[in-house]
Amino acid sequence: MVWNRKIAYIDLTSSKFKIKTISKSLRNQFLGGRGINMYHLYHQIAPGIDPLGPENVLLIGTGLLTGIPALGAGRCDIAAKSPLTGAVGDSNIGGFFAPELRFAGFDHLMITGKAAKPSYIWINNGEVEIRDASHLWGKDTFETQDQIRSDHNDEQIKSLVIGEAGENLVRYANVRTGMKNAAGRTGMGCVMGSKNLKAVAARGTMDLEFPYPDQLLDYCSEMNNMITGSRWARAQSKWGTLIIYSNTNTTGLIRTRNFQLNLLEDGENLEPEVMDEYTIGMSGCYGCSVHCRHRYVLKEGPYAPIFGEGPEYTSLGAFGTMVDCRKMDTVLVANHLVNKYGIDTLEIGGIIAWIMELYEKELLTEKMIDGFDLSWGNEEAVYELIKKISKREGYLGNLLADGFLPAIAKIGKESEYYAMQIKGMSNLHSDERPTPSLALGIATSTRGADHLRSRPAIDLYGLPEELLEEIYGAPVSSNYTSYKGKSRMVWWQELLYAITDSIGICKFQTVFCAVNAPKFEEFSKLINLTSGMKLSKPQIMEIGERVLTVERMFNNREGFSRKDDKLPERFFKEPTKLGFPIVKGKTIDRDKFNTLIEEYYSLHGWDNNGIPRDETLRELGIENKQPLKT
Amino acid sequence: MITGKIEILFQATFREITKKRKIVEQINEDCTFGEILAELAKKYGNDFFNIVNPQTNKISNDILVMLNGKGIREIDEKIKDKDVLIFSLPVGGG
Amino acid sequence: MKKFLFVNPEKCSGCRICETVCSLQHEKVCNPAHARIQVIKWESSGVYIPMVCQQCEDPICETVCPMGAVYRDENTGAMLINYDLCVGCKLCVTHCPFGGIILGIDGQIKKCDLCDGDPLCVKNCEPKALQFIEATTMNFLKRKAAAQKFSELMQKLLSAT
Repeated sequence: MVWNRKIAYIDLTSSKFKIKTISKSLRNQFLGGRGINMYHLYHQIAPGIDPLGPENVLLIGTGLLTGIPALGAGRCDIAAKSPLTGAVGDSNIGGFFAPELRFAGFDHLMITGKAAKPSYIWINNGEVEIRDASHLWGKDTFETQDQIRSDHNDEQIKSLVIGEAGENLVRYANVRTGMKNAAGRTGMGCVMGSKNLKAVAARGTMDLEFPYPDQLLDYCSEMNNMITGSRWARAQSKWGTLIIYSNTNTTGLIRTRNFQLNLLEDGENLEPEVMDEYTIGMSGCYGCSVHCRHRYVLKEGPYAPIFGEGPEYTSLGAFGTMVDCRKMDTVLVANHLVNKYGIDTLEIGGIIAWIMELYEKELLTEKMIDGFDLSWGNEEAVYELIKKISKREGYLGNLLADGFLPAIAKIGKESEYYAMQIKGMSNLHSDERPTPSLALGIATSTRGADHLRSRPAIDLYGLPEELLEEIYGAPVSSNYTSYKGKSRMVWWQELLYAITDSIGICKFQTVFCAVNAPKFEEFSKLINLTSGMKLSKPQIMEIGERVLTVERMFNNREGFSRKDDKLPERFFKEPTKLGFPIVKGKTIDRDKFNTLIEEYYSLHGWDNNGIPRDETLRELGIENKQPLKT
Repeated sequence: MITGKIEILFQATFREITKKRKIVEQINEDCTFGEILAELAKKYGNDFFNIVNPQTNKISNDILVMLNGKGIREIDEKIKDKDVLIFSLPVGGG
Repeated sequence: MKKFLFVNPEKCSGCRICETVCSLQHEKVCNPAHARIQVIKWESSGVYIPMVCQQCEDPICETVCPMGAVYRDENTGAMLINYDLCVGCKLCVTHCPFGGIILGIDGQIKKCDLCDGDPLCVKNCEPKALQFIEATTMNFLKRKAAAQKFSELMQKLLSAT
């Protein structure tokens, strides 16, 4: 049952570990996954530590529902202090690792210290072992997974691994599993690399027990049928997230040439239907009836043959619109390379687009250019940069491997204006100038610019306002260019995603995609059937609030506050140039945006500086661990 | 009487049904979205009628129809010269 | 008319929902190790093949069983095991050419029982890689898929001339 599930505390410095049961009170307060990870992040990490030092703590947590046959319940949350931002480091990963970790007897791992030599953690049916990974060091993410399977002579092993980017401490190296799943954001692969930890491998045949298995099975079937019967899921099943492109590249909600234009003209070759000629089928994560990933084969060109999975909409922007490469082939090759080296597709795409714009604006010295032709649309430069950054080769490779903030410091103050980053992290290639709700979400996200923390995508659909009020609990404008009620929208979605990440299901099967997808009510029932916990909708929302407030407290302690919840200046100064009249000519209104931020803080119970109020902490039962001001 | 032309863009499932990305339609005075829908259903089949929720007589919440970039739900929405309609599905993600 | 569990690997997305619902249905826990069906994957080339008992017309498991413990359910057509007779000799496991019979982690012989004629794996398989259909339907679908390819080829030839 859920009450006797385990956490392993593993210290790589001493090679010692201990195993404990996760307490009932922690479950009640934080559920699992991201929630419990954030509790540990706040309590176990001292303020001001070096994210690459042995004192950083790497947290791996499965969700409360991970393992059930519905809603893509195969997700795992990976957290640490981020080496990219210095704030909350947290990234969620699908695939098959998380359920395997649960079948191997563990829900959570807390990894501290640093191994003396390359190592990997082997978890098998309740046992933990730290093993030598010298022979794995230098291998790519695909080879590493295969080698571990072959070393143990067990093809069913699932591993979280890092590639060369993680080994070389690229600050936005990711953690990977399978062909494409990645805990992409905030550099969790870099933290693994800093600990000499090449992989965490799991294999198990232990039961996952539930208090009401028959009802759980019925409800999972009901959920699966509901999801797959919906039109949005059928579209996801066929085209994946690429389908978003058709719309954003018509309306004008997509970034091209870094942030210069908001439409890619002659971008037909990036339309989702183009994938038909490469696709051999779709692929789903554990427990997912949607299966939104393409399995693709690239047969021609200098990099062929490639078998890969994806690409996501994110990669379409990273290696398509933002760098002005207009061929699906380029996206597929680059997608393969980032997966191979284990580096965040979104971050590297953002950083390459930025350096290309600096090149165009002649803000780089010869030394910085490092012999590259950084012209827009130069796909070879994109491939080369992915390699050089991952391997930290050459001046430019090394410069960009540290992420935006150190690179801005070296290139010069003027380059900052062109860097589309928040808290040191790159933003998705969506253009949020016409959409205040989306802009608020990226500005306030605790892990830096990001769409997966709070994005109210349904704001774009022009839904009836009665319906929006029913969902969000107060009036919200159905016009996506309006500011009215948008703080509430972001706040509500933020709580929803905090819970989604804590119970270990896929966001794409929640109100991210569609208004009739599962939300708090469905979560309440699933939590009850899997754990016996009876939590009402307000109680679940309060848990979401607790997770968010703990993240805020962690960030406050590291020096983050309202001053960091900001948008790049270009959002205020440069109007959108293209798109429909409703989108064209838009900037974010500074005053209205400031009001949005204050409303958003107030909904969370935080003060006007973005610091949680004492009474909020009391209500949520969060200990104030901030150092006393002198 | 023909008074204008509109563009209709098809995405996702609608592109699959019509096998077209874009068509240009001529419209009459006082044209409504409902009339356009009837035309499309005549040309491309009932999938276009089915986007209307019979209970509410509005465009279903799991369909995304945009008029000049703005999501619409009402059948009697006025359509005028040079308007652009998009038929798509709401899918989030990144 | 009798129905068959028809597997079409080309449609499998590898999500393993079939394994988990099978385990939840039969053992009341989530644990693919208990599942009577398993998706065998070649991850690095993207090939996923669900493997399950084929409910053979001339079942080897029944032939090799020294205790006569394997029998056919006349209603569903499923081959079942009479646990009162089974001695756990594993000859059926050894001889089944599909891995259709497994040795459970609890030591018991287990196999697909078609969920009394309404297989849950089928109900939860969105891509329809698993279908529970009559023989004539199965034949038609196979022929139609083949004809589809043939028709595409014809179209190409016609448009080329």
